[in-house]
Amino acid sequence: MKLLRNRRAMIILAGLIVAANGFFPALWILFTSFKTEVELMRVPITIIPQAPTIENYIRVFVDQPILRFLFNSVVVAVLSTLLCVTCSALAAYALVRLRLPGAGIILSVLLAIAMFPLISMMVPLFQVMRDLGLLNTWWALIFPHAVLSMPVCTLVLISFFQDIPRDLENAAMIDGCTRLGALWHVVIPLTAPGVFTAGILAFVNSWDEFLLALTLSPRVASRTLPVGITLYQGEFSFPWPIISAALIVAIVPICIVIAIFQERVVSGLTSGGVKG
Amino acid sequence: MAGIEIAKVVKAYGSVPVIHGIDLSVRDGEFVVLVGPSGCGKSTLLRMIAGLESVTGGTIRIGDRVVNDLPPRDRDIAMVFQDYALYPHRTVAENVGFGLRMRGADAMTIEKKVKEAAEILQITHLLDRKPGQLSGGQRQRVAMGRAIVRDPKVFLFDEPLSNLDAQLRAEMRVEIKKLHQRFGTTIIYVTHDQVEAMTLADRIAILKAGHVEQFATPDEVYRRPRSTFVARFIGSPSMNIVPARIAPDATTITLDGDAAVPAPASFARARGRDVLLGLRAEHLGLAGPDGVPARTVIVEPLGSDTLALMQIGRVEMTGRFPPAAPLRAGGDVTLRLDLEQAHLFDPETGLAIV
Repeated sequence: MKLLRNRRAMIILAGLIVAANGFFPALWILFTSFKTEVELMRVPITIIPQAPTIENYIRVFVDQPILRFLFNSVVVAVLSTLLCVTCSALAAYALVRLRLPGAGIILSVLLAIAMFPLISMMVPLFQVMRDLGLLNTWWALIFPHAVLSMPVCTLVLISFFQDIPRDLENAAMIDGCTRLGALWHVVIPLTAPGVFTAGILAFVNSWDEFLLALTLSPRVASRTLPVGITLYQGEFSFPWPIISAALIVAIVPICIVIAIFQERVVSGLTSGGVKG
Repeated sequence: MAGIEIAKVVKAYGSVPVIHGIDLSVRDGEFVVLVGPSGCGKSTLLRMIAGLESVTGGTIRIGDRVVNDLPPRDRDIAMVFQDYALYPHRTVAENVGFGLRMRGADAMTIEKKVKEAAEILQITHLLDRKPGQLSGGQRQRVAMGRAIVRDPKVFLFDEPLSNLDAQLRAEMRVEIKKLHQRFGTTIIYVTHDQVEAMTLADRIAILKAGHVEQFATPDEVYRRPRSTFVARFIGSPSMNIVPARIAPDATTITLDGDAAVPAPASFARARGRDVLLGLRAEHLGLAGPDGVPARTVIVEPLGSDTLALMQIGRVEMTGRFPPAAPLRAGGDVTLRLDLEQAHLFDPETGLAIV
């Protein structure tokens, strides 16, 4: 009994550590974004802002075209997510259902690609995008972002698709669907939690991505948020409160996206369709 | 409506053949049951007819069209699955109407036809529910609704009742039979339950290891089984099949080296041979002192009648007796074996000696 209680306590402690690890930086940024630079530098340090100000947020919108960055980020993240999830769903379905020869090898290669260091692809990617004339356009980021998230999204979707009884698709195909129709009308709705999980992964990956965005889309007008935020840094200054405010502006949309999707990620959707 | 012609159909997975050249001719409007033990290929054959499995060799014809290479949606069939295969994210009405919607029917037609089908299957009150809120029997009705609403040429049933309890299974059996009488559509029905096969079928195809062992009416497969396999598979309890030897003059038959019993004239066809003697339970009866001596091993009262396992010399046979028969385990009785009704099989091939 004592052992059990200790175990429980340890699990709770581990959970608290993980949660604190995630939340502390975010909270710190949030508090910093409401502080003046003077308060930030004061010793002893304050955690809660003593004289909260929204001046930093005003500066965020005045100093740089952050709405433009936000818009660029939204377009790149949404389109790359759609592209990624569509391709991943088709790939996962083919790997799960079509008895492809060499499916195992394809899976291994997918895993290997997922582990490939991004930096090693930068130079060839830059050259390709330059030759295609796509540098400083959304597409220079949409395509690579979609491709980068594809392996992990495919693997996520494979695990969900495997749980769908084959006879549901068979029934749909007898009812008049093509194979793609069965995927669209039956498999995708039933694996909505998986599809949204893959979507969130792809969206967050694209939203956070810095290296490609800096290299392939450096012009101010086409910058995404992660790169745009670096513009707040002066040559000799580092305005922490303003940068924190900009970070909050970047974090809020993704929180909203996750909150919306999370509600859709409901389990038990497949119960009752087949015996059980 | 349409008949189905299956000619020399072969199915192999890689180099492993599972169906070895099956020929079946199903008449328009006929109710054919494919029956056999697990792994005999009956479901595979059904799925080939549905287009869910490719055909390795031979041809399948529905009506006057060869359908080998047609996708399932173009075969004008409907199928009811063992696990119901209802779309869990759709309501009963949407499930039933899905096929019509996929075929581009307008909303009015869909609503009308769904309502009609629901009335026939008594599921009108369930139309707004999701499959997860239904019982097994109700789900199976919905699955049947989805099949009948499209008015297809052929209905395919893949062990539709095997997930239901005994009482519900009996009810649904009647329901399916009624549907067939009402619509007269060709039905191919797969089951491993010989009672379903006997009660539902116009003709039964008994499959064994990828080939058709016998294809005939229920009466025929019961009365004239082509092999010991069919004889054992059809009928409950199973036919008693015991080794025996017919005397050279065919006047007597000896059960496994024991006492000789007078043989009917028809046994002359196997005079002097070792045979397998097949005798159904109902062809054993209690006799007077001149009967065959036997010992009662086990008594199973069923209410309407009583089954009893009898030891006759070295062999055991199950007999069906009236409920009031004076039987008790361990008791000695004398039996009458109605050998006029008996079957003779070749011990080597298992085929009937006719």
